[in-house]
Amino acid sequence: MGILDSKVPSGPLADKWTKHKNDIDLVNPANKRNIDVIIVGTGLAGGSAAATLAELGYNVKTFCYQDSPRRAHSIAAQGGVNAAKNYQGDGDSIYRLFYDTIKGGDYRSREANVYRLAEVSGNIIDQCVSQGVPFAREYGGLLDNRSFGGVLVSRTFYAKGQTGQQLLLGAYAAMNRQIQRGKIKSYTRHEMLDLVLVDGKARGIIARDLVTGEIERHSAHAVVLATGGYGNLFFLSTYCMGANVMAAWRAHRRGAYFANPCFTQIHPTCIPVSGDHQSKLTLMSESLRNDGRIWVPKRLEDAQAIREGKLKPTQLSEEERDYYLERRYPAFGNLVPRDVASRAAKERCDAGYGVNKTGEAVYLDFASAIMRYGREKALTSGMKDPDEKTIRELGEKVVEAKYGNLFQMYEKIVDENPYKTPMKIYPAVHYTMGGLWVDYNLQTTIPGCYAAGEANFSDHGANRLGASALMQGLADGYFVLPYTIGDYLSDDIRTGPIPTDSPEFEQAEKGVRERIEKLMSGRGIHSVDYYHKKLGKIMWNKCGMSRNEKELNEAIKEIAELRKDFWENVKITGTPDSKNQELEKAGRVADFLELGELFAKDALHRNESCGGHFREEYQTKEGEALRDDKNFKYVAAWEYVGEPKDSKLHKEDLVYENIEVKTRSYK
Amino acid sequence: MLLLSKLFEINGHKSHFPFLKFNKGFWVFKINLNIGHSDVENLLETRLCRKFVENQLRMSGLIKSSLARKYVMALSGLFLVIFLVLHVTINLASVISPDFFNEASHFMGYNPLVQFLMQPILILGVVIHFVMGFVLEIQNRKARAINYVKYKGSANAPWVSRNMIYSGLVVLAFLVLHFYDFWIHEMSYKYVEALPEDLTRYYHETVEKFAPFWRTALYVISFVLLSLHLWHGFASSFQSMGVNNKYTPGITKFAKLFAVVVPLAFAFIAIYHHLNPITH
Amino acid sequence: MKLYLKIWRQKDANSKGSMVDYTLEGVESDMSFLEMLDILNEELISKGEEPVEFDHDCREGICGTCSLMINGRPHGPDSMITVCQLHMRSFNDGDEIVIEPWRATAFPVIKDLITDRSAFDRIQQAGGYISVNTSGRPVDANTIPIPKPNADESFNAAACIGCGACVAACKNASAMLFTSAKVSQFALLPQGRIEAAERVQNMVRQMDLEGFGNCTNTGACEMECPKGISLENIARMNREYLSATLKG
Repeated sequence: MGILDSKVPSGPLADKWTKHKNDIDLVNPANKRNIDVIIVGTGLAGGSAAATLAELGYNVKTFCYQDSPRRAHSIAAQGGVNAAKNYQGDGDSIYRLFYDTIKGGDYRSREANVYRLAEVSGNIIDQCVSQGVPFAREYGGLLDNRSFGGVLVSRTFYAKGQTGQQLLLGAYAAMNRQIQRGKIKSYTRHEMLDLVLVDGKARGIIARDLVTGEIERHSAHAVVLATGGYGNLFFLSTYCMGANVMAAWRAHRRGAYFANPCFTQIHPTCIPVSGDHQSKLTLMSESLRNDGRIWVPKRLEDAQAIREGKLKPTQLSEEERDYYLERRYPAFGNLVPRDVASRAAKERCDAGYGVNKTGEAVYLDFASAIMRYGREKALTSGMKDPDEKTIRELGEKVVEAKYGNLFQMYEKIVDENPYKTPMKIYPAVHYTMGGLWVDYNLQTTIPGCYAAGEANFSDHGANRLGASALMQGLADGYFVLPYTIGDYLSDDIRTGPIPTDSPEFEQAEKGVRERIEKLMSGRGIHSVDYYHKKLGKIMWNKCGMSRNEKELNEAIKEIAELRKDFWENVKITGTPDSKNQELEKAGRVADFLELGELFAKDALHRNESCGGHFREEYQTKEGEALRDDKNFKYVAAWEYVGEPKDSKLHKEDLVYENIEVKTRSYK
Repeated sequence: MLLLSKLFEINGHKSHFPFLKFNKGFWVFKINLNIGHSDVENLLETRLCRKFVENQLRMSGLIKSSLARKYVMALSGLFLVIFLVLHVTINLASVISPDFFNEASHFMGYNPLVQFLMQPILILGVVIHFVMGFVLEIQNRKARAINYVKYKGSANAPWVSRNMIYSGLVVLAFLVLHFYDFWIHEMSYKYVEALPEDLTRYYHETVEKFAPFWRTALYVISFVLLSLHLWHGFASSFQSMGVNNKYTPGITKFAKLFAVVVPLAFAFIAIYHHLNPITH
Repeated sequence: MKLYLKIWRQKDANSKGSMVDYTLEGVESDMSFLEMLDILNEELISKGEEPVEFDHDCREGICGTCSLMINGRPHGPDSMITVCQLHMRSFNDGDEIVIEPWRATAFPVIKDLITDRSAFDRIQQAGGYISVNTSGRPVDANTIPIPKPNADESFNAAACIGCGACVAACKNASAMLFTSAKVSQFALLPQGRIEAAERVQNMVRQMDLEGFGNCTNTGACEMECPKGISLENIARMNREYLSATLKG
């Protein structure tokens, strides 16, 4: 497959990045002033890239649909950011972080990219501290770390449960400095509607001012897409409401290959759906599984009684409960990886054991942790023969100290006290590992069009480890892209400003206007949300936690039908030349309706189970994922040729020279 | 007075103080600031220029920023609080020892330092405090040109803190009456009619003032409003000056106690004299 | 439950707005407040009317986008939450709910319940950062130890989500809590001290230029802040500003 040149530099793994930086072309400072770069999306990847590129001297224009760059959804990341600093002296190293990330990704990511990620991870922390990001510290004044999701070392830096927020505000501050210097022009409440190619190179975008409805042309010598993931394809997810695939999908339609779209991470501990009105799901930190035990009733009639409100979970005795994770995975118990825990919950609920009124929830019970901690505390405080009540009170205090804010958040949303009655949780879509295919330079298959952060596919393979998303976003933006983009831009020092009155811009704008017109002229039967919810249902039921050939084929058909229905019958109120949230949503859903089909096609073609992708046909006798390294150890990059279902597959074979490919086991 | 003229600029609009000439420096700077970033950068190019701009910035910040107005409000308020202590002490003497009261009053009335230095400063303090209060109020109203249909201020802030302008206005109205009652009388006694010094007149003049019920009542009502004004204002002035440390809870308690005790003492004196008229 | 809604409708920045009454039935208590508005909007769309536009994004209380004045209080009746975290169980059947946009001259209304809060961005642009290069190789993160209490306090100030509830709550529409939180975050860290004097002066100047009101220490901002940002930050800014202007 010569078409996909990953441009990974030669030489030993550990020297690749340094060597590459030495080899690539640079743009001299005087010439950078003559070069414009457009960055779409201002989260961790986009914000940090914008700040660094502007600082290097390029003229940067940033675009975000939010009212401020600071509101990008990177802000919602809770846990932390990994970095191979080895401050704890527990044997961490660049190689170990690299190894953990490749293994966690179930051997479906590119070695050189992941190694580079691990290599620059330490720099992220240095950078953020010098920017004033208030990371948690120990009493000695040095930075604190915690451990995360199944890793053997403590390498996660954090700022309470708001690490994403603090890192994003750091990047936003760096952006602000450049805005003040006049090097970044920030366009807020703007949405990219198309990518403009001139002579086969990305040379600008068509954007809509979401306040006035004006369609604008913006030109540049390169375009960076840092627009995040596409999890909102499922309607219900832990993504923000506005998250969308529009920019990436428009680039895909213009020639950028879309890689591994079916690799989606479904997080096991989210607050379950409470009814049809639900608009969004809230994540409860993974750390809760350290102390909580997950169960459902053993008997179907008990589950039914609980759903009808006739029975309380606390009334069931130990014998009447099924701690299914402990039963199935005695070695790891409740601490199996995210994908495994999620699938197991779905399996029980599908079998009719779900415990809330929608039948899609399992219990996360802290009762035994509370009693265990209570007894421990009673002993250490020298109490003799404390009664049950005292033990419980002591235990609740310990649990509160550990998880107080999460319990409070749960109580606010669900209105149940998790100290007294078990929490209800259910898996939810949380992250997409797939995205635009990029080479080692983060360039897509369109010259001059780059993708960074969650928007690209590169680093997490088929499953992402906890606290790695923030790391990747910042690594791409601060330390990778600003160098690699120079290699491309060095050819553009004599190009001069890109005119926006060329036929290419003309045509792209015309296309955008026609599309809006077409959306507005639907027959007006159903609202945009109606279609989005329908699409979400198809995706969740047929392309969700476990997939099979039959249902994937159905999904492809159903999505195509839904798309047709949407274009004919969607109802959009208001006018296109003013603030119009319905029109904004419609454009996004229209693209999801195409991506969904490609997603299903990708899932269908990948006849194996790996990471977040589980095909029912490919599992072991015990119901575990069965990977097929012989036939599927490649990146599936799809080329747009018209209908999504006709997309053309290109393979980038994954070569592991520095790591032994193994099977994961949690028994 | 230059300082004053700067203080009274509202959102950059000049008031009617005729100090334009001296102000030019500020205006020049302001214009430069508004013409865009690169121009400011050019302006900063030379160190000399930089120093100039920095000085201008600092000066302008010190006299016309919103924070500076708060400092003025707080400092003038604290100054008036100190004056209240003096005032209430002398007044209490009128209840305890009429002779001492006469003596003290005479000293205050005829000591040139008090008359020609402290008295103008006090008046200036009062004027600055209330004029600045108005300026702030006008600005604050402008900051929310369209009001809420429903605004539940009581849910998040005490009544007194939200209505300083009203308690202040009542106190101001009271001051007019109070000036008429005592100050105008003093001025006319000393300078217009030029009557001879009388060491013994103060006590009975004061007591007589409180003979009418209406005046006593007005005074007492004003003291209640003064108390409310102090309840928020005294403690708040420390916050405005940036004092917030381990002593803050203690300071706040003291300030609130002061806000009750001092007006109570004033009210007590008024009522005492109303109930105990001098019988000739 | 059945609700009587009074909602501010305004076509665009230049139009005059007014309160419009809506009656909404079938609201469930475990809906979030914004989901209740979603339902209203679906009803409006089905009737061919324009839905009520309101700002929202993450719907988990961290992005700071949602910004509604509900029954006279920013983010509604519950404390320490944003509108998106407010649930309908805080209301009763038959309640009248008044919903308005933030009101401040510095936050002009864009449409319906959406306001333009870019003034906050400009305040931050005026100095809400530490001038270090992102592309350089800074010193190792553990070179300068920072006392834990300072780091924690700095974090508490940095927890601000920039929603503007402080301005909305303040009777003077003052932005002191927001500005001081940012000033404090940096003032408490050694790496932020270097530019502290310049920063506080620049940010305050921009804050004034945006047309926010003055702080009169009512404390409403602190009470309504969904992240519990403390008034201590305002005192700190007052202190920083005073010393910065006096020292020069």
